[in-house]
Amino acid sequence: MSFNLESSNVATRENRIGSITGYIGSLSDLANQSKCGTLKGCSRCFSQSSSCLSSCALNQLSAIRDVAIIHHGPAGCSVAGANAYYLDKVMARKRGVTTSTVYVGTDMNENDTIFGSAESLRRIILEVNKRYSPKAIFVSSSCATGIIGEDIDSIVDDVKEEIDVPIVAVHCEGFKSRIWATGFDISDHAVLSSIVKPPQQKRNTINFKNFYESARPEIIEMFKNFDLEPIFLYCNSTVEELSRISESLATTCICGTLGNYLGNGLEEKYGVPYIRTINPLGIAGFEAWLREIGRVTKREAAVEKYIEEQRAIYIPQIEEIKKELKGLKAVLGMGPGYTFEVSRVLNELGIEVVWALAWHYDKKYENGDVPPSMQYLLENDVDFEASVADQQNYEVMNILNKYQPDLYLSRHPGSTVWAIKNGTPAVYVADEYMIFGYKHTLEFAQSVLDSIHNRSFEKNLARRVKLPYTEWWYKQNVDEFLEEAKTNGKAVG
Amino acid sequence: MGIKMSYKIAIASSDEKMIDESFGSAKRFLIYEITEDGYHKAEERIVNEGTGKQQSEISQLQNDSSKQGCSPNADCGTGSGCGTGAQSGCGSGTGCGSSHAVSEKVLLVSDCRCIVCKKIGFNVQKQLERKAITSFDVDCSIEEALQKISFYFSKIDKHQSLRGFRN
Amino acid sequence: MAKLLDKQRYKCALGAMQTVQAITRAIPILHSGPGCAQKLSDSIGSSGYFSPNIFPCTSINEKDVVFGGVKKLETTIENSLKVIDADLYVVLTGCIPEIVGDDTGEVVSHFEDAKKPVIYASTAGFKGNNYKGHEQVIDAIIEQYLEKSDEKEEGLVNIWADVPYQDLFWLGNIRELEKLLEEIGLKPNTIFGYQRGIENIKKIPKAQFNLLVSPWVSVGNMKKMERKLGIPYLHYPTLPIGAYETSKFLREVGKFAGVDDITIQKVIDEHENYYYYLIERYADMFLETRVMAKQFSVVADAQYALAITKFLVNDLGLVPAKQFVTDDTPKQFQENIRKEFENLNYGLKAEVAFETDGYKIHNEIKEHDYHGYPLILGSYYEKELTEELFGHYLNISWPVQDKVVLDDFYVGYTGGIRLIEDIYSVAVQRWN
Repeated sequence: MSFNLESSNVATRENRIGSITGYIGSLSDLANQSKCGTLKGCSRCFSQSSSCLSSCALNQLSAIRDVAIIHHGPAGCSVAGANAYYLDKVMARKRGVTTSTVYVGTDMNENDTIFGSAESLRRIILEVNKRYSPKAIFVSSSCATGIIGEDIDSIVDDVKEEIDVPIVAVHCEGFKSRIWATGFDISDHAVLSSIVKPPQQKRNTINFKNFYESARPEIIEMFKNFDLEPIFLYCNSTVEELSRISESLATTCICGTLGNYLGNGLEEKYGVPYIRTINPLGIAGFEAWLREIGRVTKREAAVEKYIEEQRAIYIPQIEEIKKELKGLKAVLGMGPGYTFEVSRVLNELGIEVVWALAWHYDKKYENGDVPPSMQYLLENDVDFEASVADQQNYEVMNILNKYQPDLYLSRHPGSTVWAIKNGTPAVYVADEYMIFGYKHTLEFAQSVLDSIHNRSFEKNLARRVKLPYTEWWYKQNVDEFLEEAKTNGKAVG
Repeated sequence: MGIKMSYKIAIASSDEKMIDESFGSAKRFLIYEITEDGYHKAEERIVNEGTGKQQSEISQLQNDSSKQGCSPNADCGTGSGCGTGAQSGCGSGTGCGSSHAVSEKVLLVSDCRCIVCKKIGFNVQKQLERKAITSFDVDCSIEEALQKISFYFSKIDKHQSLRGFRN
Repeated sequence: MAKLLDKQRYKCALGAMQTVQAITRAIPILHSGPGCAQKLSDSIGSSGYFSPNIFPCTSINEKDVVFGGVKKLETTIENSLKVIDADLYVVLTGCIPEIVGDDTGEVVSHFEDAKKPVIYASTAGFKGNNYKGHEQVIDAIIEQYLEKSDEKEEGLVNIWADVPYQDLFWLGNIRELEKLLEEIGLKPNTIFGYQRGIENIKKIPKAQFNLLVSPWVSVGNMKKMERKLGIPYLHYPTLPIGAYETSKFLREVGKFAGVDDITIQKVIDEHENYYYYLIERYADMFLETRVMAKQFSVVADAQYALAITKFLVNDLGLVPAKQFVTDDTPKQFQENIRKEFENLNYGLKAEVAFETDGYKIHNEIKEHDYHGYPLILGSYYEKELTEELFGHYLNISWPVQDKVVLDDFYVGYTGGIRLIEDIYSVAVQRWN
């Protein structure tokens, strides 16, 4: 439990230091620390870029159909509107629906930072409402508006009289939180507080929080076996749909980090049970998740029947491919909602995880438990080196360089490139359904195998590129820039 | 809305001069009350050394602090002082019941608007953030910290600009 | 004053981190929030030697606001020098430090004696868009890194054109401009892209002159270099696309540089012969398409709106409908740019709107009668609109989702042919 701060040898566990925005140690240590509440973080004296919470928050909200996002700030903040426009169009088209969602900025300039821009914002809100007649309006702040003390709450309150759809202030002052995933909570909070209405009647629906609903058709088919109808959130959701999610039988989520706030909120406010199992990735995850849905919605028998049928089809195939995967070593770096889940799946598939990085770590879930994904690993005696690092690429490179694994798995844009420059094959676990259920677990195993089988691309590239870090850095320990954490006494927190 | 006439700041200091203790190692917190007229030390809170604190004690503690007339965090409301948006309603804050195992120290200072110590863990920050408590890990004197923080909050609360704040 | 930015087509000044990124082995160090780099980067084509997710960043938080962020900036710069192998470190400031008044310049001055140059540019988001930010970075290089040179290199010309990354074709264009200048016997010097970098920056003061190919971006930089480094400049406002404009461009540059007419004419003849060999073979396609009206609109920054309008009018014989300049062109440049739009062959004049509000632009396009299926060259925002009008659409300006460009270009003779290929690849998808 105590970490040796003096050690410089990163390869042996007993000498590893603890604590972080970062933490470096073994998984079991991380979990045990987490349980007794002794895990500490520490800030860095060198960091590389990561993410803004407004991206998480507003990307979620802008995926809702026929709404307006007004991002009050300089043009760089609202630049996400360009990508939102593209995503909304292609996602709606894929689903065969239309959306008129707009994401606009306010192009705040120097004058506004001196004299304020409340009146301009007011005018902009009214104009957007007139142009597009959105079904809901989200007005977001930014670092700059926060710093100059712009009171967006009052402005929003002010225009409420003139606007007859839900309008809500969304606080996205990036500097006020270090955890960009807080953005997901912010978007859930906005939806819960302004759109969701108390239930009128219970329905046989299940709220399914996800990112881009790529497995929508097959999940709809699957739930038909249990007489359940999934409502996918928030991509392509309508405001009307969202207003009724309190009527569902349960809420589930493809990723704990993403769905946590909404799930807990709906449970507390409206008694909609939140499914808190490990994620439906891999075999164990999928089955545990389905069984819990069966239990909560009282459909146990149908679920068991389905599991039995599907196992008969897929398990033999998965067993077959496992023979080829055996002995492979992997490093992975993802959000905490995925790192430990994917680690588990890799373990199921017989791939050894030599290091797992979580971009941040939710020590306690909202309900106070250790995250289920970690609980599962502990109960099943799976352990490996783990660290918590908020997308610190230089650390990833250092680890890859030292461990030279067979593959690197990540799911954040731009991250795989660095692995292949190191000559390490990379699997981009981008789609949230890439390892969902039996079928996608099999597909995932196959794509891992394909990535390993042909290493031409990464070998070709790695041979020709120079890495951007100095020789000096590669000689340092991974924890070089973690400021020392004073861990004397019975530390709490 | 959002404007607090008075609030509390918890400080981790061993000598009542410098902020010299980390959140984890602090044995007590000095509680300062900040009002329109300035600030003064209001009390000291001693950290209970037991690790397996009973839930009832924690609840008690929480109730006690509410009784002492400290504004509960939920009152921090939707003003820009609470940037996370996660502050009110569900799943967090004092509203969701004390039965959950949130860190005891966090509860000890949960009526404060912010916590100042030399070092503070990432996960504690997150817990605090969810309760709309700001945390500052700094290495300076109590006086300097209180001056800077109270000036900052007074600006934020009144929706005044921080332009040229540094000068 | 804050305005409704509907369908935004530019980023903020901090977007100039991409200008730095385009200089090989130069790295931006951001004194900003943790997510600015990710937001301002493009999701494809950003994984070069340095990529946005490795840009050092002070990740400003509330503590830094209250207690100051300069110490963190100092350690971040210090450690960047240790960890990252770069030739030039450019500190860029975001909104927060600029509003609260962090003295970034003072911190950066501590690194005057560092092994590698460290400079800084004020690029707070509210100071303007990324076109302005681009100028800020070039200014920083001029002010803080370059010194006047007594020694001049005969024929050496610094070329400045587009804003890297904001301009989809920046890499190919600048290379093609270099080639054209080489052909008329000059020695081009540019700082962006493959095998360009600090050594090219060092050569800047030795140039005989600066050549700026842009309607307005970097005019200020040219004046600054003229003042500080004593380098005269030729401001050529039109990015030359196609034979007509490129030949005109070569003549003017040649004249300014003192290249003799015979050399210039020889280069022009060679290119034009091949160019019109191709055009002759495909003239049937231009003349006999059933699906394309003669009228077109471009929705782009001043650079492309003007360049493509001139090409389509003066080279291909199309007729301009209203053109839309979306880069928030500063007022003082608008009149001259407008004059360029009115200076077309056969006395044709193109009406131009300087407009950043996409909603208004779309309404104007919808209301205009193009006398057939229109040709719209613009950003991704114009795709659906053009489909509604049964028109032909090409994605040439930011945001770009409909085209992947590695080193393609539209500049010069070859570039003109590429643009024709792109336009007609769209047109031939339809019969009528």
